[in-house]
Order: sequence, then C-alpha cells, then structure tokens
Amino acid sequence: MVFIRFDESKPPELILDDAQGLSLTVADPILGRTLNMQPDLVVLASAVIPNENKALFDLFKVPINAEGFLVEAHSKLRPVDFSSEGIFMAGLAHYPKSLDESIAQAQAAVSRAMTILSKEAIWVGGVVATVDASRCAVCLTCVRACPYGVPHIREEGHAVIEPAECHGCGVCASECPGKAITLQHFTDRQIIAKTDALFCECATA
Amino acid sequence: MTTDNFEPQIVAFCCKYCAYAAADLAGSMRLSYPPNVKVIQLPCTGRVDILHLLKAVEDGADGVYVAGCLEGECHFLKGNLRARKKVNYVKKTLEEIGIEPERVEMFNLSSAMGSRFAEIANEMTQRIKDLGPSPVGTHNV
Ligand code: SF4
Ligand code: SF4
Repeated sequence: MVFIRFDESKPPELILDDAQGLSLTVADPILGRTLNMQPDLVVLASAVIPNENKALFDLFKVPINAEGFLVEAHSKLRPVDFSSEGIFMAGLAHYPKSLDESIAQAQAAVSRAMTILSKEAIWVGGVVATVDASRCAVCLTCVRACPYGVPHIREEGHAVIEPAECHGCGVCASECPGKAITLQHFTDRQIIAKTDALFCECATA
Repeated sequence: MTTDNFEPQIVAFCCKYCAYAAADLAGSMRLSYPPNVKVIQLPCTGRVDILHLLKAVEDGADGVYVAGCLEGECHFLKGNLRARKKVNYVKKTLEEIGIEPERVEMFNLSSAMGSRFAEIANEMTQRIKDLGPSPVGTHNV
C-alpha cells in the first residue's frame, strides 16, 4: 500500500474520461511533483459524524469532545474507561475507526467490565464523608446540600452518612457550618497542607 | 520591587472529572502552559471551601482559581454552581480588605478541552502579571 500526502489547498483531482477511464492527479508535497495515475476503482472515505445523544450522555455523565465523540478517561492509561467508575466504551461513538478496531475495543471493554463482575465483593474508594457527631448542630445543611440525599438525621440526634451510599463529592463537607463533616482523603488539613507546601520557605528558596 | 521579572504563583483547584483530566489531555497534546500554575486536585469543585481559597491567598498566592465542569454538566450535579458562589464570596471579601478581586476566578471547562485548560492557565498568568504581586505575598519583602 502506498500513501500519498496532499496539501489541503491542492486536493487531488479525479477526471472520468469515457475513452480512458479514471485519471487521478495529485501534487505530492514530499516529492515536490505532480503524480498522475489511472486507477481501476476509487473508494472515498466518507466522514463519520457522531449521533447527537446528548440526553443519554448527560444521564451517564460521560464527556464528549467538540466534534461530539466520547472522551475516554485517559487516552493511554485508561483507553476504554470513562472517568466515572464502571462505565466503558467501544466503537464509533469514540472516534471514526475500522470494524477490527471496534471489535478489539469491545473486547477490551468486556475485559475491563469482567474485572468488576468476576469478583464476589469489591472494595470501593475510601473517598466518603464522615460526621463528627459531637460537632453536629443538626442544622440540616448537609441534608439539603447533598445532591444524592445521603445524609439523614433520625433518632441518633446527629447527621449520619452511610459510606456505601456516599458518592464522595465533598459538597456537604464544605457546606457544613459546624465543620462537622470530613471528606476522607480530601480533608481540610490535606488541602491546606498542599497550598502551604507550595509557599513554604523550602519551596521558594 | 519591579514587576519586569515578576513570576506569579498561581494555585488552581481543579475538579478530578474535568479540569484535572483536561490538564492531563493538555499534556498528551503536548501543549505547554506557564509553570506558574500549580494544580491541586479535588473530587469536585463543590469540595472547595472559602477557607481553602483564602488560605491560598494568605499563604502568598498571587492568583487563585477554581476550575470545574461546564455549568449543567457537573459530575456531581451542582457542585460547580456552589463553587462559583464561594468564589464570588471570596472576591467580595478580598475587595473589602483592599485586594483586587480579579486575583480569584472561577472557570468552567470539560475534560475534552485540553487546549482550553492551557488557555485558562495563560489567561490567568497574564492577568496576574498585569496586576503585579499580591500585597500579601512574600515577593515584596
Ligand atoms: S451540616 Fe454539619 S452541623 Fe449541619 S446537620 Fe449536617 S453535619 Fe450537622
Ligand atoms: S460527600 Fe457528597 S455524596 Fe457524600 S454525603 Fe456529602 S454531599 Fe452527599
């Protein structure tokens, strides 16, 4: 197979002549010459335009790029995953590709899904909110702020956050006026320590 | 203190699902952006607390920004709208104590916008260079 590059301002020209058949002329910028050939068949690679599936994409919170194709979590490290856990992709919705490539990607997506499905129990991330009952003023701020309605206040007399239900966004932790809520792995101390580290003498010296 | 060779220190609080991923993408696209911007990852910009922003200013940051998902596309539904409110609150507070509110900003982008990430970093660095060092900073001691 021979690939010929062309300059966008000088696209190839195809002429259909009844007597001589097809004639293709293209300026090759590498050779610096104009090539002419008589192909038996010309097959055009037509553009692939993604479906507009905004409602579905919004539902799953999966990102699309400016052209409308899905965007993976990381092009090299997590090529069939979305950044949301447990959602995978394969096929043309991702970018224009050949059938072989779509199949390889579908197999990759299946094997990624199997890493979850093959387990009896899985460890979920430790990024969940916890309540310090002694600081809770039962103000209901967290109950109203949580986008998933996780915190509740019942007979315990303070807010309770069920770790398995918590999505770990940290909204409650930053809204709680009593600073009673800590988001594990993103505690105030950890976040502030990061800014402090940027400006400590060892960093500026 | 002259501002000719002033290199601002800027802290960017970035949501893991959009801005942080966009920074990764900017890297794989081999885009360059000023080293003045230091990124701190958050699970959602809704986690950002007024305290974190003010603490960064107090520590000596010349600029601070929060970068979250596009409005209406927050991974956690509305965290980015809460973050915007907090940023606006901090702007007001800074103004009251005589610090330019433009030093603090909220940006929205998606994880597919690698070039927008670099653009924001450039934009903010230029803005802070024009404003000069923060009066709180250690640059002028
Ligand atoms: S926001 Fe804080 S103080 Fe208020 S109910 Fe929730 S945990 Fe308690
Ligand atoms: S961290 Fe987010 S999901 Fe978990 S309880 Fe708090 S607001 Fe709800």
